[in-house]
Amino acid sequence: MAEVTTNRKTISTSLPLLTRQKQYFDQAYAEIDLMLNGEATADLKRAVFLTENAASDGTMDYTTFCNQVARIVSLLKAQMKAENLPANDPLAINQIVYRFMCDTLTIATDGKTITTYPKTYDFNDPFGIRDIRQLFVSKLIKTGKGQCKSLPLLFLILVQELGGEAWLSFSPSHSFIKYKDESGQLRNLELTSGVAVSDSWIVGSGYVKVASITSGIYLDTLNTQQVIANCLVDLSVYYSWRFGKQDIQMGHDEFNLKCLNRAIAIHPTNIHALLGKSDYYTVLLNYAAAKKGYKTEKQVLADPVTAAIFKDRNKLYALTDNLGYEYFGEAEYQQWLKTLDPQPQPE
Amino acid sequence: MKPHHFLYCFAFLFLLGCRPTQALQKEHIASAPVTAQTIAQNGFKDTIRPHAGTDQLVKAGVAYDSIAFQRNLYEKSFTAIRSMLEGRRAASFKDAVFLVENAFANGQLDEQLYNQQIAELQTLAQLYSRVYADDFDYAFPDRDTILQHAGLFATMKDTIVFDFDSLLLLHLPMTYNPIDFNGEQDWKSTFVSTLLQTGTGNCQSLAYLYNILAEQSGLESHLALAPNHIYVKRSSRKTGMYNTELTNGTFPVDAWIMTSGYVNLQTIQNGLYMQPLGDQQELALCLLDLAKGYEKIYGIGDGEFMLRCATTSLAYFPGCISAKLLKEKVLGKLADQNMAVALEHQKLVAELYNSGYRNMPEEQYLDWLSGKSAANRPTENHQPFGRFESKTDRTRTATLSKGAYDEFFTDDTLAAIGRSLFDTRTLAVVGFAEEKPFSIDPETAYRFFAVDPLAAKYPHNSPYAFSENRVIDGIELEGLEVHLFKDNNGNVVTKPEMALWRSDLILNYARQNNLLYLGYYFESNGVKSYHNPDGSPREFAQGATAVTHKEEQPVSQGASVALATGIFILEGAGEATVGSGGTASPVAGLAAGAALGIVIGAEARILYDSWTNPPQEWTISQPTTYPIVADETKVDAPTQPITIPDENISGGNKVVLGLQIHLPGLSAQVGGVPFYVSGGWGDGVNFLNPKSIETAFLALAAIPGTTFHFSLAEDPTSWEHKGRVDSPENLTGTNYPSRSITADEYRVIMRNPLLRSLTTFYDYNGGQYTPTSPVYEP
Repeated sequence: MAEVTTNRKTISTSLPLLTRQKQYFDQAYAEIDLMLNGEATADLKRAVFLTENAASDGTMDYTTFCNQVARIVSLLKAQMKAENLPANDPLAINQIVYRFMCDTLTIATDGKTITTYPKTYDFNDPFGIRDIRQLFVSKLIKTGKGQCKSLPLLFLILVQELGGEAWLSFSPSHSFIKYKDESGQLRNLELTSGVAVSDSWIVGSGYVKVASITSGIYLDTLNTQQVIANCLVDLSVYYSWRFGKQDIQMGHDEFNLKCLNRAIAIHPTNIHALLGKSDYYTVLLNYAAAKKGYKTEKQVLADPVTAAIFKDRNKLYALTDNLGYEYFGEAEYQQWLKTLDPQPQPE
Repeated sequence: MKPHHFLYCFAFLFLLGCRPTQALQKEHIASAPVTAQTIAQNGFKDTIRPHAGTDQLVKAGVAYDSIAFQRNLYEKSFTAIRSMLEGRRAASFKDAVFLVENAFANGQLDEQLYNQQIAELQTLAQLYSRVYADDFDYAFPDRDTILQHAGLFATMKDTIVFDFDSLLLLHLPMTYNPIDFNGEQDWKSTFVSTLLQTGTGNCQSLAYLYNILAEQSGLESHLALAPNHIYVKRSSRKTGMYNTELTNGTFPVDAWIMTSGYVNLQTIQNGLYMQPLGDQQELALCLLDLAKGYEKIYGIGDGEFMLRCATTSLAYFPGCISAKLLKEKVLGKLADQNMAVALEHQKLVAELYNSGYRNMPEEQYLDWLSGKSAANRPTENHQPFGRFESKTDRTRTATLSKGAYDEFFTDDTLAAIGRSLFDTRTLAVVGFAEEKPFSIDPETAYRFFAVDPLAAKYPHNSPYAFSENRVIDGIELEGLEVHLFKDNNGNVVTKPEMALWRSDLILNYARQNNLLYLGYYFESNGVKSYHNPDGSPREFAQGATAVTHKEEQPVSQGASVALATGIFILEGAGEATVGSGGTASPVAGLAAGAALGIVIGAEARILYDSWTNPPQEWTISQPTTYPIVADETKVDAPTQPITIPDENISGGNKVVLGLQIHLPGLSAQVGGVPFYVSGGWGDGVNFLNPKSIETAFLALAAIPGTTFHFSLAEDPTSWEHKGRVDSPENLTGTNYPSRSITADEYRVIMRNPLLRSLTTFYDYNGGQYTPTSPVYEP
C-alpha cells in the first residue's frame, strides 16, 4: 500500500513531533524491532516490560519485574513437583499456569506454605481510558487484578518461563488463551472468568461473525513473534495516551505509524494494528484539512495532498471491513461482561 | 413461541389485519405497479392452471427405453450445468435446479409450471413490498433492496392476508417437513418443485427457492453451508452480513449455527463452512444434487457419473466438503477393488480430516430427530487438561448452549469421516462405518433447525437470535395467526363444503382483482385443517403432521419411475410409462399392463411397461398411442372411441379403479370392452385438480356402456389401509393421494348426476365388498 507519511517540509499537512519523554518509546521500539528481526531473542517478558516502562516514563526496574515473575515461576515449579506433574509437558504447564491464574493454590516451598489467589477481573476502567497503566501486567502482578489485556499476557509470560506452549487469540475487543489438549485440538481459556470455553462460546458471546474468523482477524492463534509484534501496537496506543491532548492531533505522530507498520509487516491481519493505522489516517486527514481550511469533501478531494490521505484512509476502512471487522461498542462490551459468569456446575 | 415475541406478534396481527389490507383494497391496488397487465404477463393467474401445451412427450421418440432415456437425461443435465459453469450457457440457478429435479423425475416435471409458480411468488413478493412499504421501519440507504427481501421472506414464511369485504384471501407460509426432511421416504421431498406444489420443504428446497426468487428479482443472496444444512446469507447496511433460516423463519447469529450445526472452528477458518457462496459455487452444488439423485436411482455402480459430478463440482468450488464427502462415499465403495483407488480414498479422508471436518456425533443427531434439543450433556465429561486434570480443582467449563450440544471437538484415536473410520495418529483409513438402518448420511441428512434450547432462560431475547430477529421489520415469526373464514353474513364457515364453495367465489374474486388465491382452512370440532385451493391438505401449524404426496415405488422397480397401472391423467408435458404394478399385488396378474390414459392439452405418447416375471427386468413393449383430447372445454364426448387393444389386456380383464387389490366381480365397462383399472402408484394422478378429474371421468362416461366401481373402504389387512372415504367427515382421511378414491374424485362423482348414475360404490366389511349408497350433501 502506498504510504503517505507526513512530510516535515510541507508543514501545513504534517504533524509536529512530540519529544517529551519520547526516548523510552524509541528505546522500546528499537529493542522490540531487534527481536522481530531475529537479531535479539524473542522474549515476551522483556517486550511487555519495555512497553510498560516506556509508558511509565522509565520509572520501572527490569530486575524487579523479572524477580516478580521468577518468584511465581518457582512457586509453580514447586507445585508441579508436589503434584507429580511432568515439568516439561506443555499440557501440564498450561494446567498449572491456568490454576495459578484462576484458582487458589496452596504451595509448600522452602518450609513455608504460600497461598496464591485467583486473579480477578478489574472492573475499574477496563479499557484504561483514565489510566492506561490499568492494563499493565506489572499492575496485575502487584494487585492480582487485571483484564483481558493483562491476564493472557501474564499467562503467556509464565508459560514462556516454564518452557511450555500456548497462544494468544483475539476476539472483538478481547483477547484470550488457546492451547492444545491431549488430542492435539486447540482449546480456549477465558481468563477473565477462569473458565475453559468452547469456540462457539467465544463466537456467541463476542458477537463474532464468520467473515472475521475466515479472514483470520479473530480466533486465530498468534505465535510469539506476532504477540511481540502486537506489543508494538500497544506501544503505539501507550504513546498516544502518554502524549495525547484533547486536540485534533490526539497524541498521534509518525511514531505511531512506524510501530503499526512494523506490526503489520509481521502480522498482516493484526486487526488492532490495522485499526490503529486507520485511526492514524483519520487524525492526519482531519489535521491536514483543518490546516488548509477545508470544510467539505469536495475541497479535500480537489487538493492532491489531502486527496491522497483521504484515499489511504478509505482504503484502510475498506480493508478492515473486508476482514469482517465490525465495531463492538462499549455498551455491548458492558453487556458482554455480564455474560462472563460461568454456568453453574451440577453437583 | 418465545414469550418476548407475544407483543410483537400482536402488533403485527394488527398490522396484518387492519390497515394494510384496507389499503390494499382501496388505493394501493390502483396505484401499485403490479397491474393487471404485468400480472398477466407474469403468468399470475388463478391456481386452476391451464393445461400447458408442450411437446415433450413427442420428443421422446418412438423406440422408447425408459432406462436409457433417463440415463441420457442425466447426461444432458450434467452437460447443461457444466456448460453454465464454463460460461458457455447462461448461468441460472433456477434452471440448474430444474435440470436436477427433472432428471430424477425422468422428464416428468413441467418446466412451464415450475417457471409460472416461481413467477407467481415473485409477483406476490412485489405486491407485498408495495403494500407494506409505508409500514416498513427501516431507514438505511438500502431500504428498497431490503424491502424487496422482506417481500420475499414474507412470501415464503408468513401468512399474507388480503381482505376483501368479508372474504379473506390467505397466502400461507411455506413450512418445514419434519417427517421426511432428508428425502428418505421420497427423494423428491428435497425438491424445489415439490416445495412449490406442496408448500412444504426441507432446508435445502427452502433455501434454494429463496435463492431462486432473489436471483429472478435481481437481488443479492447467497447460499451457505453447514454440516447437513443449507441456509441463506445476505447483508444489509443496518446489520452487515446476516443469516436467514427459512426452516423456522428466523435470523440466527453465526454462533448459533456453529453450535447447533456442529461446525468445527477450523472449517470456518479454512473458508469451507458458513461462507456466502458465489454463483459458481451454488451451481457446483447442483451437480452434487444431480449425483445424489442419480445414486438414488442407480446406486453407486461403477461410480463414474457420481465421481464426474463431484470432480467437476470441486473444480469450481475447491475444498467443498459436500463434494469431498460424496467422492469419499464412491471411492470408499470402490476401494477394495483397486489399490490405487484405496490410496486416493485414504488421501481424501485425510484431507477432510485436516480441513477440520468431523461427522456429527450420532447421539447428537438422533437427539435432533427426536426433538430432544436441550439434552443437557454434562460438561464435566470434557476435561480440558485431560490426564493432568487436577484432582482437587476441577476446571470449570462453559459452552454457548450450556450443555445442550456438544461443542468440543476432542478426537479419539479413531475419527469418523464420511463413511470411513480414520486413525488420526497414523492417518490411515482403518475401516468403514457400520451401515445401520438409521445411520447418518453425511451429505444428505439435511436436518431441521433445532429450537433454541435457551429460549426459556432468556425471556427478553435469545443470544442466538440476530437483532432480536427483527432484521427485517414487520415479520411475525411463525405464521400461526388464525384468520377465520367468514361468509357474507359474517358467520364463520366451518364445513369443508362451505369452504370449498367459498373458494369458488374467492377464485372469481381473485381473478377479477388480479390476486392470487393460495389456500384456505376450515374448522371442524375445534380442529383447523389447512388446504390448498384444490382441497389437498397443507401443513400449516408448526409441529403438525404434514400430509404430503407420498409416492410408493417398489424397490425392484429400479430405474423406472413409471407411472402406475391404471387410469392416469397427464396435464401438459410429460411422458407416461405405464406398468402393471408391483410383485406383491395380485394386479401383477395383468402381465401386459392394462391402462387407459387421457391426456389433456398436449400431444402425448403412452407407453407400456410390463412387469413380467418379477423380479426380472422391465421389458419395454412397443408404444401405443391413445387418443388425445386437445382441450378440456371441448370434452363433451371423446373424438374417437377409446379402446384398449386386446393384446394389452390379459389375466381376466380385472382391475378395479381405486383398489390396490384384485377383486372379482367389480368392473368398469369401457367402450363395450370389459375394462379394469387398478389404482396404483404414480405420479400423474397426484397433481390433479377437481376440474381435470371431472374432465377425465366425463371422457370415459361418454363412451357407451361405461360404468364405474369404487370401493369406499379397503381391506384393513391390506398393506396400506386408508379408511373410509364415504362421508365428508372422512374426506380428509385419504392421506395417501397415491391411490384409493380421493376426496376430489369422490366429490366430482357425487356432484355430477351423470357420473353418479354410472357409479357403484362398495363398502368393505369382514373381507367382503358390498354395494352401498353413500349420502352426500354438497
